[in-house]
Amino acid sequence: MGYMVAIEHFHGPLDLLLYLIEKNEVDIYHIPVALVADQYIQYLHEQRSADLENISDFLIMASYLLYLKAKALLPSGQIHDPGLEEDPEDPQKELGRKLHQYQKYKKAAQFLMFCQNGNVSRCFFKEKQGLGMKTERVIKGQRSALIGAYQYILNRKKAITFFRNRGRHDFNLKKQQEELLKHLKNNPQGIVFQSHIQKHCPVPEVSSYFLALLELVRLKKVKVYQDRLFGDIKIVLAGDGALC
Amino acid sequence: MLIRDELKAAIEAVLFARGEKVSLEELSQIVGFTPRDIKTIMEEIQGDYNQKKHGIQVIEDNNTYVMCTKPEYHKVLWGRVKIYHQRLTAPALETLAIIAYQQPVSRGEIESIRGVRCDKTIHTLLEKRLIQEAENKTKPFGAACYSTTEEFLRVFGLASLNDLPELEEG
Repeated sequence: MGYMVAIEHFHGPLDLLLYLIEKNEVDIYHIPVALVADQYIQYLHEQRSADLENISDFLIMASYLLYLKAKALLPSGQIHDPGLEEDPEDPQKELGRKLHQYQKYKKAAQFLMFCQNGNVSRCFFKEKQGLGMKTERVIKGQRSALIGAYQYILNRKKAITFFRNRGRHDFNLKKQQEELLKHLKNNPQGIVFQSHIQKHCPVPEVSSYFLALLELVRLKKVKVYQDRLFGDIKIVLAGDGALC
Repeated sequence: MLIRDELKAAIEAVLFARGEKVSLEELSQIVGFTPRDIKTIMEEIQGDYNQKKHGIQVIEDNNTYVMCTKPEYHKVLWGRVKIYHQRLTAPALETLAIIAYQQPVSRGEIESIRGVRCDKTIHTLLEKRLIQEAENKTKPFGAACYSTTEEFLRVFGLASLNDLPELEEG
C-alpha cells in the first residue's frame, strides 16, 4: 500500500474510512466495499503495537466492513429469508450517511481550529471583572484561614527537618535491657520509666528503650505498673536482676 | 436630551465593567427603566457604535448584551493579545463542534457521529469550562446532555452561536 499514515493520526474509524475513500477517489455513497475493507484491515494489521483501548473502535468498524463485504459477495436473493426482517435501510447507504455526517462536523471542527489559530477574524472580549449579580466565580477569602494554612506549612516543615536531622541511630537492645536491670538493682523500690529517659532524648532512643522494657516484661524480669493513661510507668524488679 | 445621553453612558459603563453578557432585565434593574425602554436605548447604542469609527461594538444575543471588539480589528489584536494558549486537540475540537451545532446533545449521540468513545474529550471540555451539562428537554429522564458555555464563545471569539458558519451540505 506504499506510504501509510500512522493510525494515531486518525481520530476514529470514520476518519480513517474517509481518508481511504478520498485516496481511492470514490463516492461516499458508493464505496467499493471489498477494496476499502481490505485496505482498512491492512491498516489495522500494520498497527499491531497500537494500544487496545484506541484500537477497539477501529475493530468494530472492521467487522462491519467485513459484514458488508460478505453481503456483497453473496448473490442477492439467496440471503433473503422471509423469516428474518430485512433491514429497512440499505446498510451501505446508512454507512454513507454516517460518513457524510461525520465529514460535516469535521469541517466544523476545522473552523474552530481556524478560530483557535487566529485564521478567522474574531471578536475579543474583556476579562470578566466578577461584578455580576452571580457570584459563582468569586472566591470568599478569610484571613484567619490563610494564616492557619501558613502556620500549618511552617509546622510541617519543622517536623520534616526534625526527622531529617535525626539521621541514623544504632541502639543495642540487649545493652539497654542490662542497663535498665542494673538501674533497678540499685533502686529496689522501683524506678519510673519516664525519669530514666533523659530530657531531649531523641525519639528513636526513647522507642528503643521502650522496646527493651517490653522485652524485659516478656522475659518476666520486671513488672510494670501504670495507674492512668500517659501516666508514669513504674518498673519493679521481678526476678534476681540477672538477664540470663 | 441630556437624560437620555446619560442613560446611554450609564449602560455603556455597566457593559464595559462587566465584560460579559448582561441581560435586558438586569440592565433595566440597574438603571431603573423598563426593559422596553432599555431595548430602544440599546438599539441606539448599537447604532452609534456601528455608525462612527469604533473599535468596539455592542452585540445582542437573545436579549443579552456584551461589549467586544469588532472583527475588522482582528489583525491588530491577534498576536499582541494573550488569549488562549492551551490549544485543543483535533478530537476535542470535533467533539466541541458537534456539541456547538447539536446542543443539547448526549454523549451517545456525539459518539455515534464520531464513531469513537468520547468520555475523555468530554471530560477535558468540561474541565476547561467550554461545555456544561445541559437540561435534556426532549427526554426529561434521559442521558446527560451537553451544551456550550459563554466561555466557549469568548475563547473562539464568537459573538453568539449564530456566528458559527452554516454546516456544508453535500
